[in-house]
Amino acid sequence: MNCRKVQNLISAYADCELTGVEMLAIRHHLSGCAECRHDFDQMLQVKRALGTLPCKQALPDLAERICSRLDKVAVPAHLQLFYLIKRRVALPGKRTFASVAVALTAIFLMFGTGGDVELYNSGMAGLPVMDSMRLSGGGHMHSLQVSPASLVTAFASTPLPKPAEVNLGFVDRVEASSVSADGGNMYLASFVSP
Amino acid sequence: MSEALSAAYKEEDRRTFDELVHRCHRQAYNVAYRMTGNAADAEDLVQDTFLKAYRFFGSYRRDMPFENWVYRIMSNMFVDWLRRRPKVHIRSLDEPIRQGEGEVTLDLPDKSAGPEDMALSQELDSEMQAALGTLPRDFRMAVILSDIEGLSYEEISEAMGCSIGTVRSRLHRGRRLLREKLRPYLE
Repeated sequence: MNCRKVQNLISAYADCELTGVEMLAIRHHLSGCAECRHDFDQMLQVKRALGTLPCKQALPDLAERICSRLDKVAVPAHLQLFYLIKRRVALPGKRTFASVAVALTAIFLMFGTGGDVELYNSGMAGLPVMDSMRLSGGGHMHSLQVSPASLVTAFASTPLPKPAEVNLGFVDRVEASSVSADGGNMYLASFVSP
Repeated sequence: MSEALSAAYKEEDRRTFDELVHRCHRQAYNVAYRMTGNAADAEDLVQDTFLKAYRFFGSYRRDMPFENWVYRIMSNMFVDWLRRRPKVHIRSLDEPIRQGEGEVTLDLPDKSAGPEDMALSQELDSEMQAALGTLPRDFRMAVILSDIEGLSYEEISEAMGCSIGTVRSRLHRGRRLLREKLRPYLE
């Protein structure tokens, strides 16, 4: 390993964030190169000096003052709803198109109609309800359904995850829906008018 | 509806968030201080960061350390914070200042005449803080998280929302710049 390469890696070497082979190669180079050794020593000095800087102390009541201000934080209603739904819809994966699509549809319904939202989540098992949430309030009664996989597969050709007009057959009218896929599962969120 | 929704949301998150604030605020303040360089601004930055974190707490992925998530918000808030404070001009000490037709260059005071074995003191603390303040924001954050907070490259990449290769590059360049600024103190 030449000096140029070593000097490019010297910082990561000081942090032991290189592969074993690179660590050994640099160690070998440093043992025979005074210039790079000097470079490394100075890099270490900077690193160590930063590590020994005193921890700056906040005023003792800082946490209390922060918490007291939280009451005034306005979390927009659509975000509150989004987070609540996202938490209850136990979909696999971290951030899936499915959870986003379901939650967005719910938000659309909530604010588009001013009505209640009832959410069902079902998976490939075929049982219609694995988890459900209902947010009650005034206004009209609507329902948001995620159908069993057997029904969802019928809409596999529906563009994902764009909302699409579909007719489930077992309800009178579907005004809005979205289909999304996540791994081996598919989810359908649909808005059924009263 | 909105009241019931708010109550449900707050009930679920507020207690958890309060505990996290109490657990993390000291560390967050230290990072904020090293980013801003003074106590008043550090306190403002920490408060704004936690308030924003609370607003978006629902999007916080629980598999990520809360501190790292807060650092990411703080890093973004710092950009906004600088924009909101036009009276504070962040300038590299190497950047020439135009004065009329000529240019002058600022520099850190030469401490070479001082005691060679100067222990880490208030003075060195101030000089290091001043040197940190001259680093570009991303370099500064990476150096603070690595060398002051002791985060690994992987954790820094998570906190800064960048690749490990980028972390490595920012640290390398940040430390090199710091070394130049602090050369009078280095043996």
